[in-house]
Amino acid sequence: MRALFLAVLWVAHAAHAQAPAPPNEPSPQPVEQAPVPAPPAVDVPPPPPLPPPPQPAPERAGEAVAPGAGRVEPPQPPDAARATSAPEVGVEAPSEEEVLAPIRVGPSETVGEARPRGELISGAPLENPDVAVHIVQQKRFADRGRHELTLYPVVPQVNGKFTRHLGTAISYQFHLQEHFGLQLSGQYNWVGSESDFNAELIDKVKESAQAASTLLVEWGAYGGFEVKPFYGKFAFYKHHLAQFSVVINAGAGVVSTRHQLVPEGRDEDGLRTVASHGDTGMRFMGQVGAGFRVQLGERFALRLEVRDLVYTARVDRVNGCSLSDIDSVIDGGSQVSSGCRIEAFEAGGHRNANLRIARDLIQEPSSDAINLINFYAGASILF
Amino acid sequence: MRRPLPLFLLSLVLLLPGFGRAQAQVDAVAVQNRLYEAHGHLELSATAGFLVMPQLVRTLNLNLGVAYNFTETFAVEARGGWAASGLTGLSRSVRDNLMLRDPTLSQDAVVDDLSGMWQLGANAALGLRWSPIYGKLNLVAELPVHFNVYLWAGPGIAQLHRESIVICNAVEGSGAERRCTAPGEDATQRLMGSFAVGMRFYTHQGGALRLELRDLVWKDSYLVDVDRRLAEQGQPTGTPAGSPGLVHSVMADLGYTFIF
Repeated sequence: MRALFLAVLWVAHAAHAQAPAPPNEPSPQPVEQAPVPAPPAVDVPPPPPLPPPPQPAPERAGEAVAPGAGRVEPPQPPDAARATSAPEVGVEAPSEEEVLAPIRVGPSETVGEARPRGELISGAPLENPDVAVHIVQQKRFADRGRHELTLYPVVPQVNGKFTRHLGTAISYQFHLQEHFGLQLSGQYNWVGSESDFNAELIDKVKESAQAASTLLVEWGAYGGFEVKPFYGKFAFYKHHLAQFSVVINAGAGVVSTRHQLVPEGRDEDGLRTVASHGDTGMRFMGQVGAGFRVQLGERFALRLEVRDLVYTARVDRVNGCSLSDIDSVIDGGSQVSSGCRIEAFEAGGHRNANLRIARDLIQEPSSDAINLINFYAGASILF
Repeated sequence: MRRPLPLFLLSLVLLLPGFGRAQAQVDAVAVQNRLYEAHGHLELSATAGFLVMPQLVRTLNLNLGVAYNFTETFAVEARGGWAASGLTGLSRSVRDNLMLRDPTLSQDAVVDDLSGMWQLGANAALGLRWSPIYGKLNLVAELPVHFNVYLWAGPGIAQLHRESIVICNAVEGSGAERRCTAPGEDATQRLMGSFAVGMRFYTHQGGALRLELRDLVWKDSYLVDVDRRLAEQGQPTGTPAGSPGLVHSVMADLGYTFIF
């Protein structure tokens, strides 16, 4: 047991000895090195062999580290060198200024004897920035078990060929694991209309996209999962560090759809008239998305995502009314099937126009697979 | 040494600050070390871009570029090339349907041409690139990918060609067989603006994969009040639109940059 404890202590001490001094540490003062117990001869397996010293890094400008960090200082006397890595009791964690200050690398940080440039920090050579450990192991904030609430104040459609959407979305994530979470999202589009391009086609050449291609989404709700397979860091210039994850999410849910009947315009007196819409029902939808999540401290994050809401659209009823229902009403009849909300055609005060346009829409039933691709920029709070 | 566990815990407590210091230092290394530095380097790039959302016109823009990084974050880049452009299927469908409506029978005799019909040809631009963000991404567990994010802006010039789907200078057939054999065409050079946001993923010291969204913007122009009857007789007709607006050709560019 004692031998085991000595071995563990020896390994821990050796690991500590490799920790370099803080950048702004004052000139090393000679201190007496603590005796290092000899490794046990029995009961304990020998420590793993040290990795071979790395080859000297090529002298490339691109390999330069922090200002001054790439400079290999001349070897110092053993006493001074020994001092830099001696254990310190009660040393506080370095401040941000200390962390961002130039870093010394080289033999001056060795214990007792000069070590090659391939000094190991957390198992990776310090002067080589292209080492996975520097990236993977430095995740400051763990996500596992945390909740995340995200508000996307403005969500514009980015593939608005025939339609234009602008809305607000909210999303909740529960991070089951560090790289996997469950997600619930809701979205309401406060702008939903046919695009200017579609209006130009109608106005100039009397052509329009099929009804199914111009369905508008009023709101949607969906749930699914999110994975964060990639993790990284970036610096804005050299002094602002941020961590980010690439997020990929997918889910399923429902959307409420409608179709524009009479576009907004102006009446004979030049007054603005509002657009009228016909309800085309709820649709099942699938969702896929990807983006970046930039963590700002422990409790906040920014998200930039693109999500595709995919749903199939077949327009054969408007406001619950079939073609025969609408024909009957236009011809002056009053008998309609159950579910037909004929009063809904009063929207915007364009009853007759609404009925005629609705009949045109469903006279030739159309179907399409709609991709509503939106850009989501939002802020998250984690708790 | 008779009570190893408390001593071991005490040792850990004493050693933790050292571990934390090492972690913080590695963190700084991850930020400050740029494996791939740009300052003073010359670059050659080849890119191919396609319209993100083609409406009436489709475009494949092939460009070559040369850039010089005069600081770590700023570079000046000249790029130029040629774009293969044409009408989309939607355009042809609109034209075919319009031709079925005979203007001599007063069916849509006077119409406005459609906007955004200029097709990009040869093009060149000179711009400033600002790359304030440098980062690393672990693509898979042991493969760090270095990247930077940049904004690009600058003026340029574009050779443009226009093929109208409304104006037809010669027709053959009649009724359901009416076909346009000589669409109204025009060509011009126009100043344009070129704006981009992109990422470069370094593959090694000498190269990087380049992904960007680029918006080429130029002033539109088209005719309104076009008398199709006169046009089909080959006579000039129509007046320029008063406020035609701007054409935005938003392209997804994919390319590779060689760094010297």
